[in-house]
This record gives sequence, C-alpha cells and structure tokens, in this order.
Amino acid sequence: MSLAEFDEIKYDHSTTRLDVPSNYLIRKARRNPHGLEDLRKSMKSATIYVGNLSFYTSEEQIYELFSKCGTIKRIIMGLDRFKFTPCGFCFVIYSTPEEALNAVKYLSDTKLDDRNITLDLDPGFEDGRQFGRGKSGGQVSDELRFEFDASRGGFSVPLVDRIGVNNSHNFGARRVRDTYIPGQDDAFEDEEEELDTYIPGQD
Amino acid sequence: MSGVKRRHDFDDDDGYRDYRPRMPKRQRIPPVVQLCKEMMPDIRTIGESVKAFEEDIKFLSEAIVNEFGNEKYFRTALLSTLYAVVVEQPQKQPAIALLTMAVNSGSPTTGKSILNFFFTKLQEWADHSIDDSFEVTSNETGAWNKIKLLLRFLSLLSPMVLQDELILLYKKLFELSVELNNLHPEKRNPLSEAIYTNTLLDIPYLFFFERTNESLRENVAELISYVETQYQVKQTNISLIKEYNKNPPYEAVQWIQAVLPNVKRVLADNMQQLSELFPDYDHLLPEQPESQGFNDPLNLPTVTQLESFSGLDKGLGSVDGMWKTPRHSFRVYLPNSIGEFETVIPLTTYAGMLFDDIIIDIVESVEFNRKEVARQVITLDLFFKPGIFTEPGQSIAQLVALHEENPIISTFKIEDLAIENILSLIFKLPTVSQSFAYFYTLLVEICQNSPKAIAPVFGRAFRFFYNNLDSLDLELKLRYLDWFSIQVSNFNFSWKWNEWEDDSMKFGESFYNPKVTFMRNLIRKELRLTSNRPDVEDSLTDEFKKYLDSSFIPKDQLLQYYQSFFKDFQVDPELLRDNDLYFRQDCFPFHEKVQRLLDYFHKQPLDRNVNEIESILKELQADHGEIIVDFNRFAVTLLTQTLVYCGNRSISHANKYISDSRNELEELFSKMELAQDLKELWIIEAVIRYWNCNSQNGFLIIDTFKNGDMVSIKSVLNFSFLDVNDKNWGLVDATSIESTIRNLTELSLRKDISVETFEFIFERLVSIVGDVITKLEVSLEEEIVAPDIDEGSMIDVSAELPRLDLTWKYEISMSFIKSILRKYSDEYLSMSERLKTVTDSNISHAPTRTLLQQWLTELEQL
Repeated sequence: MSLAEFDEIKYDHSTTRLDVPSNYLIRKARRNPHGLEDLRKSMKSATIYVGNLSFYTSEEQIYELFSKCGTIKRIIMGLDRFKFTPCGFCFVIYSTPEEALNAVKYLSDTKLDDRNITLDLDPGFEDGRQFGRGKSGGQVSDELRFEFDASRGGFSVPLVDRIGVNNSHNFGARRVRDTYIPGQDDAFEDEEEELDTYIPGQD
Repeated sequence: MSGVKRRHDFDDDDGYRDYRPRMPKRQRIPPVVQLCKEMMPDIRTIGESVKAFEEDIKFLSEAIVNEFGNEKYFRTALLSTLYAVVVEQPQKQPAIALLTMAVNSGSPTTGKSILNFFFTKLQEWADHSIDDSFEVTSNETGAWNKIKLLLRFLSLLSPMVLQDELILLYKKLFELSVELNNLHPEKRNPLSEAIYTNTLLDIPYLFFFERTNESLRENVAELISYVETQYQVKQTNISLIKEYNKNPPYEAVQWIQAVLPNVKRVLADNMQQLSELFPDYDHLLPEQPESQGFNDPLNLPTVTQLESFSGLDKGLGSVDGMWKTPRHSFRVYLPNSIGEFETVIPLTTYAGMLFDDIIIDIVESVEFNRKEVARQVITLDLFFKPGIFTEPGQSIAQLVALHEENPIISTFKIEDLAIENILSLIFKLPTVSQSFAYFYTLLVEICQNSPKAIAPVFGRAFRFFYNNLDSLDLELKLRYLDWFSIQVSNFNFSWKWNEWEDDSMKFGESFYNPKVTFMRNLIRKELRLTSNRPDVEDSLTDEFKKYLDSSFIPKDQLLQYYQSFFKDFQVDPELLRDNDLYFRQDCFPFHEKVQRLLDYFHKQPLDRNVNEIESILKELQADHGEIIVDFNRFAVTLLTQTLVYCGNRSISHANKYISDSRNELEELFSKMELAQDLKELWIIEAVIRYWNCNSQNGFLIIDTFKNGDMVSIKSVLNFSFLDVNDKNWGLVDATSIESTIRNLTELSLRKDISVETFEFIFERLVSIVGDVITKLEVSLEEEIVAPDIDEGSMIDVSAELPRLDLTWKYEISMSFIKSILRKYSDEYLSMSERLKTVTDSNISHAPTRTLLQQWLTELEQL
C-alpha cells in the first residue's frame, strides 16, 4: 500500500530527518488498511515508544533523561503481561507533539542504563498496549533473541531450541504473531521488532 | 558520482525513457526520480571529499546543464537541494556557488534560473520578516538569518552577477539597519544590530572569486565608510544576562563592537587575511558569460512595518532570537590555562566570528539530525584554507611542544572551536534556543565519533566550569550539572574524581560551598540515571563515597520530624527505613489500624466509602490520642504517607493512588478547621520526608498533588525555602531547585497569570538575603564577597566555616534572585516598581540594595 507523503523522496533538507517513522512502523503501516492514518496520527501525537530498555531501568530514570526534552505528562512502563514486571519498553506521553518529536530527534540511540535505547513515533497509547505480547509475557523481540542479555532476562530462547534442529519450536516471527492474546487488537501491535535474522535450523 | 554515470548509461540505452511497465510487480522508480535520488546526495555532500571536489563540480555541472530544461521534477529537486545546502550548511556555499557558476558558463539560461530562484527566496524571506502568522519550526533560524545566508550566497556569485545590483542589496540593508538604529537613539534595537552585523559579515564573500576586482573594492570601501559614519554602535551592559556573578574569567566581546573592525582588517593589506582564510577555487572557476542582473529590485519592509518586530522577541527563529539581548563571546578554552596560545580563533578576528556564525547556523538549522551536525561541525576545516587549524585530535601536550618548536604554527583546534560554540548555546542566557537534550546528545554524539580526540576536550570544559563554580550563574550551574551527568552516563560514569579530592576534604563539611554542593548533586544525579549503583560507586574515589548517601535531610533531623508527632513515645531510629512507611511497623501501638488504612486504599475506588477512614481515624484518636501531639497534623501526615507508600513502586503508581483518593482526602481535610496553607505544608512535608532517600521522587509526587489542586505552587515554594538552622535545601539541592523552576515555569505558561507566587518567592529570597546580611554583621557599605580559597590563601577553613557558609549562602540567594528575575522577566516586569519598594524596605545593606535595584531596572531590556 502506498503511504502518500511517507513514500515521497524529499529534497527540502540537506540531510535526512531523524523524526520520521522508523522502517518498522512504515512496514507495519503498509500491511495495515489504516496504516497511513496511523502514521499521520503518530506525527501529531504527543506519545513516543521507547524500546531496548533494560528490565531494571525504572520510571524515575526515564523521567530524568526524557524530561530534558519537555514536560512529561505520563510514563507507561511496558510490563510482562503475566508477571507485571517491566519487560523493556515504555511509552512516554509529553504535553505537546513537538516535545515528542524532539525526543525522537534528540534521544534516539542515546544511552540509558548503558544501553542504546530506540525511540519511535507512536499514534497514541491505548489501554492494553502496556503489555508484552510474546508467548512468555514479555516482548516478542526478546523471544527471537539468541544472545545472552543480562539486563533483558538473560537467554530467552531455551537451550534446546537454540541448538535444536527440529521445526517444532515456536520462535519464528510469523508463528508468534498468530498467538492469541486476549483483549489484544492486532492493529495495535507494535512492541516487537520484525526481525529477519537467520535462524539456524529453520528453512 | 555514480548517479551521473548511471544516467549516461540510460542515455546509451535507446528507448529507455519510453519504457512504461505494464504491470509492475513492484513499484518502479521513474528515471528522473532515480537520477535525482542519486545526484542530490552528491550535491549535499559536495566538498566533503577534497579529492573528488574538482570532478564533482565538473560532472554535476554538466549533468545539470543537460537535464535542467527537461523535467520540472528535476528542476524542483535541484533548486530545493541547492537552497537547502545554502541555508543549512553555509560552509558549503562556496562549493555550491562554484557549481552554479560552472552551470552558468555551460548554459547562461540555467544559471539565470538558479540566480532568479535564490533572489526570489531572498524576497520571500524579506516578506516573511513582517508576517506575524509565519509558522516556525524548531529548525527555523529566522527570516533575517536566512537573508544573511542568501545574501552571502549571492555575494559568492559576484563573477556572474552585475556588480551594481549586488552592491545595491548591501546598501539597502545597511540603510535599513541605520534607520532602525536611529528609531530610538537612546535604546538598543536588536533587529538593527542583527542586520548590521549579518550584512557586514557577508561583505568579504563578495571577494571570494573576485579578489582583484578594483571597482568592487572601491564600491565596498564606499559601503564600509557609509556604515562607519552612519551607524552608531550602542553600548549595552545588562548584568542580568552575565554568565558570571563576579570575577568573570574573561572579558566578553560584543559582536556589534567587533564586527566592523574585523571586516576592515580582513580586507586590509591587499586582503592578506582573506587569502589565508578562504580556499582558492579560482582555477576551478570557468570563464563567466555576460553578467546577469536580478529581475526585480529587492523590496525590504519599511521601518514602520518592522518596528513591532524589531525586538526579535516573537520567537520567529532561533538564530534571529539570539539578538534579543546583545550577543557576546562565550569562552571555555582560555589560553592562559594551557600555555600562551589560543586554541580557539578569537571573536575579535573575522575568521573567528565567521566560524562561530557558521557553526551556530549549522547547529540550529540541522537540529533534526544531530548525527549530521556532529559530523559537519568537526570537519568544518575541510571547507577553508588548509593550515588554519592544527591536525585534528592533536592533544594539548602535543600542541605545547609544537608551539615551543615553532611559535608561528597554528594552535587552533577545530574540536575546541566546535565544542565551545555548542557550549555557548547550552549556556546561552536569558533563553536557550533548543531543548537541552539536543545539545547534550549532540555533544555525546561528537564524543562517540572520536572519543580519543574529544574526551580530553570535554574534560577541559568540565574543569573550566568547575573552577568557576564560585561565580557561575545559578541557572548555568544546573545546566552544567545536567550536561555533565548525561555525558558521563553515556561513558560509564568515568571521571577523574581524584582531581577534586582536595576541595572535598577542605569543604566537605560545608552546606553551601558551591563546589561541594555541585559534587553532591552530581553524584545524586548520576545515581538517578542508573539502575546499577555499582557503576557510579566504582567510579568514585574513597573521598567521595560519603556523597553516595542521597538522603535529603540527615537522619537525625528525620528522626526529629517523626518524633515531633508524639509525646511519651520514643521513635526508634532503626525503624526509619528508606522507602517504607514508618507508621506501619509492628512495634507501633496502632500499626493494625494503619494496615486497615492501607487495605482501604488498595480497594477499588468504587468499593469504598470515606466513612471507613473517618472511623479508623476516630478510633485511633480515641485509643491513642494521648501520645499524639497534634492529631490533625498527624492525620494529614499519616494519610498522605499511607497513600505515598501504596504507590511507592513508581511515580505512575503514586499518581494512580493519589488521583483515586483525591476526593476522599479533600473531604476529610476540609473537615479539619485549619488554615489551608498549613494543611498543604503538612502534605508536602509528609511526602518529602517519606521519600527522604530520593527527593526527586518526592518532588515529582508533590507535582501530582499539585496537579490535583491539593497543594498550591506557593505552598511548595514555601516548603522548599524553609530555613532550618541556617540550612536551606531550596538553595542547594538540585531536586528542589529543579522543582522550583518547574513550578514557576508552569505558572508562567498558564493563561490566567497571577503574579502573586512570583512576588512571594522574590520576597522570600530577599528576606533570606536580609537575614544572612544581619548574621554576617557587615557594615552597611561593605561588599559581601566569598574569598577565593586556593592553595596559597591563609584562611583557616575549618575555623572560618560558619562565616564562609553564610557568605556562600548570600551569594547563592542573590544568584537565585538574579536567575528567576531573568527567567520570568515578563512576570516581574509588571511589578518591578512594587518590588523595588520591597527591596528598599527590607534591605539596608547598600551594595545588595543597589544590585537588586539594578536588576529590577534591567528587566525591561530583556
């Protein structure tokens, strides 16, 4: 699906802008009938999505850094939907859309708690989105991760799956998306990265 | 250049242009789009590779000449790209001008089209300059800054443009600046200063490709003598916007004073300085056909139209806005700290001023991509004559050695220049042009690109500010603290703490010493930025471990606070634990009732009835009233702390509990027959004492109470500036100061402006100052200045500490007043006469009174 102004090549600046939807959002929007609308909404919303946080990063730490871009109205920590513990993402709601864009421009790829955080535009928070949508309750991206990451719960793929060769394991991106999650509307999925990493033993 | 080569391939491939996919499997890009996609990035990066420069100009100009007449898409893309580079990356202007003139020699019509386009832009910006409804984005530098950049570009095109027409542009701008300046001869006119400086700064660019043109020289000499005689440079001195409250480490130079001598000097001696600054592109410049003119004369707005805009205070652009107050030099890398040489080109040279101007333009206009800015500002030397700067990454030790060996070799460091300019934007007073986060992360980005070269440069800046903390403006101290903490948090919190050990040993016991308060606040802030405490702990030397205790007030005072609720009952200090509700401890006589309160607040709001709390409180009073001193105070504190405890997992938890219970508390509190101020003070105190281990949380939770209208901003400020045994946390603790600023800013943004709170805080601070003066027992005329205590001084610090502390307290309070007067000048201006009376009646100490009066008078100049 064409994404109107988001597909255009622009010549109005001498370099690219950092406050544009990420490739992930663009790809997602293309698959979604309301994609364009959502993208436009996300350019005007005061909400941003913050990813790649350490599970141990607290709301107060996020406040300390993100308040340098504007007045924060609310921080919504992303939680493991079974354990209700932080699972590595959050939404920050500013008081104006400009502040949200500023955060995306200025803070993406900076370090918080020794991790490079990722920021993305967001059309606006809705209840339910604060929960991880992975099978285990956390973020899908963690379930696709093979490396050990101490601040994101260590290994997430069980050892047997990491070395296994059978096709019965469930960590392929598509399979995970099919998982039924009560109360979740597929249109609002956004936490996980769609990874195209090579997975050994998978066709 | 791959784009251009590809295009040639397409040309060979006959019929390619007619190719229309019938059923494209995936979207195919039309050839012209493909061409632009490949060619425009080459224009944007022109000059970045010195080796490819000559070829780039050649191939690009040929391609433009061939393509310009064909498709509108190409023309639009090309002109937009050229324009974007000209206004966003002014260092590349000479390259773009060269490209334009190469095009012009190949096709004068195309050259003329490009010239027309830029002239139209110039006219557009002149029109925008009086457009109130003009929408400003964060990367907008302002109409007059754009006019400066476009005029500079047109000046570069001097070989292809009729000389008289170019000179006429200058003349009109100078005349306008003179007229504006004469509007009110006694008052400074910001716009006039901006136009005057900008236009003068552009003049040398007329000679970029025309160094030997005699008639041009004559015309320019005439222009310069016109402004020199007609423009009256005004002296302004506003102490409210000075970065240092006393003993400035350098004498600031004002742009308006320095620009004309700079320009005259650069053009003198057969333009010797100019040829040392600008690269020589003459051999690349093809023969120009007949000179072109502009289609229309430039129409500048009239002085009357401009009058209401001439304060440059309407927020119509970041760089234009910098002229609101007199622009002056800001230094960090001073020569005397390292040796007898400069590492930054001084503002009193044309080159120094131009570099400052260009760096600020890049930083402000490309704020949407800090990564690009980080790259451009550090490689600026590529676009100027080689040899101006020393090798990139040269250390100071190497420079000292080099300088000794050969004193005429350049010691200018491009890193110092770029970073000093970015710091000047961070430390800009009275207002800052972008969010702090931008500048902070821009600096982090620059450091990440080449840590080895940049980290020592930052280190020198950190030390410079640290050494000047005694006199640095209070607001700037906060910015320094923020920058420092964010910077080190991105680099594992590593800092050479041992450098500061002496100060900590000497002044560790002091409450107000600027260096100690800075270190204390810094370590606490670092702790707030990490979830892994050892990261910070391990970075500290033993001397500093004592600052790891982040208690807001010391434990004994906390104990006193809890003890003050009771009679005939001893509070056990062991039970005062961080982030725990004291009243629920098992040993407490009524802990079960407190548990019932906790259970109550944990219930869903719909399932509860406020009578339940009332009955618990009644029982409590009946059963244990005899050990409680003031039951109302106890009840307010208990309820507040119970709520805060329920929401102790995070700020949003606290928010939830507080907003769920807001109405209930209000109902309960309203039944107490007490002054509202008192209740609010108790609420605030209860929260801050609960979060004694993390006052930042405490103040953020107070914000929630405030947003729910349960406490007023005035009450928060009243609490913050309470003086207990001469200790006033509101003056030294960063979380408290941040809360104060946050609250005042919120108040100033509200529509219904009531200045009462602003008046309150001014009076409160003045009374603190008055109190300190009394305690210092100085004579009415004697200045109060904290002594410089360095290794050589004879002061016995431990014996003198109480008095020293009072002097520092005096300086901090005064600096606080200065900062808020400046920051909220609009609010204070409206009541300045009243405040002068307040000052007169409260302060009898002459130097203090004079200074306060002076600040109040200066308000109208902000």
